[in-house]
This record gives sequence, structure tokens and C-alpha cells, in this order.
Amino acid sequence: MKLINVYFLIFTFLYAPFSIRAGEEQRKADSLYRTGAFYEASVEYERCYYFADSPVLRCQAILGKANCLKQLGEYGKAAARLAQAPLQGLEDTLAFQLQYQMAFCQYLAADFQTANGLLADLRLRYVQPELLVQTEFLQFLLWNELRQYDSAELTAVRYVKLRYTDPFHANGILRILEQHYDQQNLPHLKNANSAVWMSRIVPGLGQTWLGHPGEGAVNFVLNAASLGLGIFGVVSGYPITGYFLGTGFLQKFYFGGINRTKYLSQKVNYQRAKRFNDKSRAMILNL
Amino acid sequence: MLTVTSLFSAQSLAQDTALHRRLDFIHYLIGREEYKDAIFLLEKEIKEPLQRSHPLSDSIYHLMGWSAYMQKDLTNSSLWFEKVSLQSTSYLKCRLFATYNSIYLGDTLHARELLQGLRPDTGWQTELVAFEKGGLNLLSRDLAAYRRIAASFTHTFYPLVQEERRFDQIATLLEQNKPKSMTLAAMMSAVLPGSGKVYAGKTGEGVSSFLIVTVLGLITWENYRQDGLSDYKTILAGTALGFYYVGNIWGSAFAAQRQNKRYNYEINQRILFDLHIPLRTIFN
Repeated sequence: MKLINVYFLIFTFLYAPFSIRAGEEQRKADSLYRTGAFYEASVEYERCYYFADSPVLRCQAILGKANCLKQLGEYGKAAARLAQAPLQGLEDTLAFQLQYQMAFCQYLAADFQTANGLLADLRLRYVQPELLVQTEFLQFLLWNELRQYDSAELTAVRYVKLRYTDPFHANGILRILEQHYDQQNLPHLKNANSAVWMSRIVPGLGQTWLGHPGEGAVNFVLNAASLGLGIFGVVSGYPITGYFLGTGFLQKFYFGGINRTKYLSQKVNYQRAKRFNDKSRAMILNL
Repeated sequence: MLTVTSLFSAQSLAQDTALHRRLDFIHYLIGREEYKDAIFLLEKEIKEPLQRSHPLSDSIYHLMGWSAYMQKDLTNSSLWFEKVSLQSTSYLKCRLFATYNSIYLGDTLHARELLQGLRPDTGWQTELVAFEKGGLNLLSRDLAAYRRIAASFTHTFYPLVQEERRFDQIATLLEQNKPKSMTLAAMMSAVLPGSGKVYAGKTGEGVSSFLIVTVLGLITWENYRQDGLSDYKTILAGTALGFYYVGNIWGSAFAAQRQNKRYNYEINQRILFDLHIPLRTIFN
């Protein structure tokens, strides 16, 4: 009897940890996350997911892993992992958090269209005011990135009304918003096609219109010089030399200028939109 | 005494169970194609100063080799695959993948050594090893040795049927192939600029070279006619023409060499592909 008791104690002592392992694994992952060991924590959260015996624990592990991946800058991977979460039977708050994080990771991964689609779906499913505040915030950031400034302003207004119940405070913020989204303050984006057509008609004009007059002037002079070289060659009795050298240089500078205009138009629009979006983001974060 | 023995055996059992649990998780990671994470955990296992049974150690080496292989880290993959012991059930798989890795990395000598050390015990294993040896012979262009090995192919083992047929086609192609001559390409371009490149299979480059030499020739001729041989414009255009003409001859010779290298590279890629597919089909 005594021997049986000893065996019992040995096996109880050795196997007891297995029964409480799930909690231990979760604690280990949390502790690694807190110390900034995000990669190690992400592996441990995946272990929690694998050994978890309930959908809630699995989803919590996925959220933990996604947070680690966000810290590591792997936003696309975080979104992909969140997309695999088993949502059936989950309470609304947790399901919302998973889907919201997925949209947020897509936003961080600069896949704004996908993030917008996910958010639209989320806004249809969850209408509780405390959850809507969160979606309005992300929606505001997304509309700005998608250059839909009218929608961004409307979303910001809704966000402020949901978040601030004090009308005096809310009205003050709404006035700031109105001023920020005034037509004059919005980024003036250039039409890439117009710029290209300008450069086709007068070499260098497109670059000048996009705010690079020096570059435009150099391009114009180079095109004119190439044309002049060709004409001069033909007129002074060197038709072959004039034709081939003139057309050779002209072709390079003319089409090179057009390609450069295309590139500049994208760059200029990106910079202008980014400057405005950075300002908008800073503004809403400081509210 | 009995209690102490029981304590040790129970402790060892618990350790093995814990390791099995950890390996289960690593298998899961590999299934999810999270090879980086699997390698991270396997490295931790290897560093652990534990007494492990042979099968467990072999499992760790096998998983390490496989994860490294899937991460395209073929050098490390070979190192781990080769550590798997003869007693392991995955020994043949590990050796053949180590062989493939060595072939891919260009170490055909080591690949041959690995194949020589194999003792296949069933018909399909013998044919698979012969197939790998045949591929090696094709890669080293030893066609006579390939034909000798190919004579033993049964052409009935399903995962190898198509690849064996393709190997035969490649051998025939190699037998019939006539490499492009660098000298001939250079001579052709000396007579008619660009024709050497067309011979080497670079038709576009050949036509373009012909047009450029012609234009430069016309410009030189025009300046010569107008201002004579000693005028700087004639000298400038003539120098450009000379450089381009000689450069084109040189380029044609190398175009022929490049074409031969490209042909060999493409054939080698096809052989490597055909060597690889049966391994993945049989051992997946």
C-alpha cells in the first residue's frame, strides 16, 4: 500500500505540470512579449494556439501572435494569421478584435483597399457604439490614404460625436476639423495624364507644371539642341551625320523626358498626399 | 532500490513525453510551412544537454534537414540529413535528399559518395538509386555511363516512368548537340557585321549590330568625302566605327560561348528538375 502511495506521488509530481501547461505556456509567451523578445513570443503564442483546448484560448493566442508580428514589422503575415482564426461561437468582443486587428494590419501593410473592405464588413456586423468608435478611427485613416477626403471628413465628424459627449468640447474639435478639410488646405494632386501630354507637346513643360522648372528647362534645351544639331548637319551638307545624330539624341531626350514626367507626377502626388495624411493622423491622435 | 529505479525511469519517460510533445508542435509548424520557427525550436532542442534515444535524435536531424531544405538552405540541409543514422526509417529519404542537395550545389563528387554508400533493399529503391546515378552521369555529360545505367531502368515504377523517358530524350539531345563555334561566329561577323550573332542564335542583336555598323560607316564615309581623311570629324567617326566593328567581332565570339553555356544550363535545370520530382512524389 505504501509502495503504491510512493508511485502515486512520483507520477503525480511528474505529470501534474502537464495539466496546467496551457496556462504556463500563455504566461511564458506574455512574459517574452513584455521583455521585448517578440520573435520568441510569437513562437510561444503559436504553441499556445496548438495546445489550446478552446476556441477562446486559440483566438487569444492568435491575437498575441499578431501583436508580436506587428512589433516585428511583419504586418502582412500578422493579417494572414488573423484571417485563420476560428470565429464560430466566439463572443462579439473577441471576434470584433480579431477582425479589427486584421483590418488594422492590412492598413499597416499599406494594402488599403483590402483593409477598407474588411472594415466595411466589420461595420455591418457590429453596431455597438464602443466598437464603432474604433472602426471610425481606422476608417478615417483609410479614407485619407485612399485620398477620399470628403469621406474622411464625414468619418472624423462621426468619430468625434461618438467619442465626445460634451457638446462644447465636441464643437471646438469639429471646427478644427472643418478648417483642416477646407478645400484650400487639401493636397492639390496633379493629373499624371495632363503632365505627360504637356511633355509630349513641349518637352520639359510637364516637369515645370509639376513644380520642377529647372529640370523642365534642361530637358527643353537638350531636345532643342538635338533638333538643332540634326538641322545644322543637313543644312551644312552632312545629311547622313545630321540625320542620325540629331534623331538619335532627340529620341533619347524626348522619350526620356516623357518617362521622367510620369515618374515625377506619381512622386509629387505621393509626397503631397503623405504630407496631408501625416498631418491628419497627428491631428486625430492629439484629440 | 526499486523506488529509486522507478523514479529514474519515470523521470526519463516524462522527459521523452515532453520531447514528443515539443516535436509534435514542430511537426505542426512544418505542416504550416513555418520553417524558420521550426528551425529556431529544433536548434534549441539540439543545444539541450539531454540524453535522447536514437529515434528521437534522428527525428530532430530529419526535421532540421527538411526545414532547412524547404528554406532553400541546402548546405545546412545536407549537413543535418547526413546525421540521420542507418537505423532510422527515414534514412533512405534523408540520404537521397542530401544527395540531391549536393548535386544542386555542384558537389557531384560528394553526391556520388552518398549514392555509393546506399544499400537499397527493395526493387523500387534500387531503381530510384540507379535513376539518381543516371542523372548524375547526365549532368557530368558521361553519356556512355548513363546508357549503361539506363539499361537497368524498368520503366514500370510509376513515380519514375516519365522522368526516365525524359532522361532518355535528354541523352539523345546531348548526343546530337553541336556546340556553336566561337571562331566561326567571329569570322562571320568580320565578313558581315552581326551575322556571327545571328549564327549564335541572337538574331535581334545581330540585326541591331549590322544597322549600327552601317550607320557609323555611312557617317565616316560622308565626312571622309566632304573633308578628307585627316579631318577630326572623319577621325572621330572612323574611330567609333573601328571600335564598334572590332567589338562586334569580339561580342559575336562570346555570344556563341554564351549560347553554349545557356544550352548546358537549361539542360542541367531540366535534369535537376527531373531528379527532384520523383523524390518529392515518393517521400512526401
